[in-house]
Amino acid sequence: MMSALCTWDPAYLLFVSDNVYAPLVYYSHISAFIVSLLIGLLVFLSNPRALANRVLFALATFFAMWAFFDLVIWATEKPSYVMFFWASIVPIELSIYASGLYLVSIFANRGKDISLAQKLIIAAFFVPIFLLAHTSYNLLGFDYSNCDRNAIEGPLIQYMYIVELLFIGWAAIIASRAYHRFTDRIERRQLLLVSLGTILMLLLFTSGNLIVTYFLDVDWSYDQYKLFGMPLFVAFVAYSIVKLKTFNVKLIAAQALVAALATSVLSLLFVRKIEDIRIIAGITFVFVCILGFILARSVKREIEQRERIEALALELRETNERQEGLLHFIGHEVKGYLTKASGAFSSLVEGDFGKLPEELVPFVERSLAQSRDGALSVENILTASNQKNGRVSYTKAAFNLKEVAEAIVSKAGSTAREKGLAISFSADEAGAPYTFNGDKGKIGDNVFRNLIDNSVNYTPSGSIDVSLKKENNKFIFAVKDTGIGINDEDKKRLFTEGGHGKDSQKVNVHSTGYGLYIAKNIVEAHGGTIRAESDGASKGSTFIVEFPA
Amino acid sequence: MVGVDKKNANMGTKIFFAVFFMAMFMSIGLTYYHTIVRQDYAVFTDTDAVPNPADFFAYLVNTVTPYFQK
Repeated sequence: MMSALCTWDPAYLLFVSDNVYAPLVYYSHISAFIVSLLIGLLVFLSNPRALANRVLFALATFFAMWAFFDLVIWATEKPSYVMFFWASIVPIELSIYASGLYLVSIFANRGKDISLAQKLIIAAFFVPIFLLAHTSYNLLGFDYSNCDRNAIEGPLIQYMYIVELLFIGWAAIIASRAYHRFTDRIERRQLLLVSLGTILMLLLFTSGNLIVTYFLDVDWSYDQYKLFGMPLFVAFVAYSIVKLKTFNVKLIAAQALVAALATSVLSLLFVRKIEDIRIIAGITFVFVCILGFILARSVKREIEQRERIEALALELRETNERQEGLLHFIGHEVKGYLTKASGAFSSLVEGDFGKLPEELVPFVERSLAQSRDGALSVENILTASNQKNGRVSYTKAAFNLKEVAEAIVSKAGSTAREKGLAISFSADEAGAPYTFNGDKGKIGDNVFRNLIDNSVNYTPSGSIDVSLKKENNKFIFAVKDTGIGINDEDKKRLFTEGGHGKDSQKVNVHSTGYGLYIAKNIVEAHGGTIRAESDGASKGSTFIVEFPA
Repeated sequence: MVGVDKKNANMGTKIFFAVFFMAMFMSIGLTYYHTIVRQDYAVFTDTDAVPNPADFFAYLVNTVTPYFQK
């Protein structure tokens, strides 16, 4: 046996040793390993649910595994390790091609998954590999005739090369057909960049295998160059991400490029001979120039955008402040006039100036109600504005929620009955006493009364059930009606400032859209929650307020 | 129903990938057993006896080409 003549250094961490005789192995493998894992992870984490992102992650992971396995084969001193990693690299290598084909198919399919039948066809090519990877059909044996620590490749690997070429051709046909089918310019460019990057990477990879096997007398030291397909692939994908927002990733290119530079420089540490530095330095220099240019341009654009946004934000804040001031001024003025008008109408209704003529009574009563509504609307807008600016203070003291709710239902009862609505109030006695520490006035007027008034206003016929109970350490106040209901679109803007249902003003012309916004702020200021439930338009709704007990 | 079909399709894909990766891990596991645990592989010590992978391709071409020439 020749083994006694071969002196191999023990590998540290499986992949660091002087057994690696080809100069660029660490440079090509470590760069490929880190860059592929990085881009795979960044794309995956940006949107783990997107299929294309998952497949790119799988491709990158298989590539990183391949680079690591190959590095171990270069570095290890143990023949059994060479045999294991060399044999195991076969299913992993074919998985890179299958992932590449899958990725191109997804882009050709406009982001949709391929059929199960197509997946099964791709997987069928793996069957001989899974079954025979451990046999001599894969690796005939270990070459002890020299000290290069090579395994002898068997017919299964020739089969793999044929399948690799088949997958590349398949991907090219799919991409080309989709490219001619697509009419959208961005879609076409995305497909072109991702497909070209993938196909070029895979072609470079297979060419490396075939050239070494059939033209370079199985000299694997040339095999290292095929890994430069990965940075090429990353460059295509990164360009597609930056230019066309592919994979919906922000700033990924800048991060990936910095990492690529760092790993390129890091790889220099593993260079064995000083003369090899010249080649590596040359490659790194080209890398630095291209990537640095892209990076600098993208950072410059980011800074310009941020400066523009900051200037706009400042302008917006100043405009808002001016508008707020104007709103408060107008609000207070209008409220003052409306309050004075209410006072005058109230005096007339109460007979302070003698008995009114019969025909004037309904007119004056309506005017009183309208001026009070007007004052309330202005009050709501001012309160909302104050809440937004944090100018609202709460006077908290212990009070009974049940008593407040009961009184408001009783007051609202007459209006409800005038409309022909049945209104009821129930409180679960098991939850008593309903003592709560909060601002009684604001909870009563702006939350409970607001919700009950809303129900009265938006229920043309039927009933309103107001309830109070204590459950799971929470006071739960609910107003359930058989009114116009809320559709899903309206639910989203229900509790927003000035936001009311799409058709709510057809039912209640006085709706300002501030009532629920104010209620929400008050409830939340007391550590509670408010929500609306409805099965849809015309199906009634339930507003639920929960306070911590 | 569309929803049900989609659910079944997702289930089919999940099963597919589960079987695929299981097969891959089993294949690698079996390779580990044969190469590292049992060290069950041939060792070539004579340079002349070491087969060249390119020979297989030549063999394949020689076998297949006459078949197409018939």
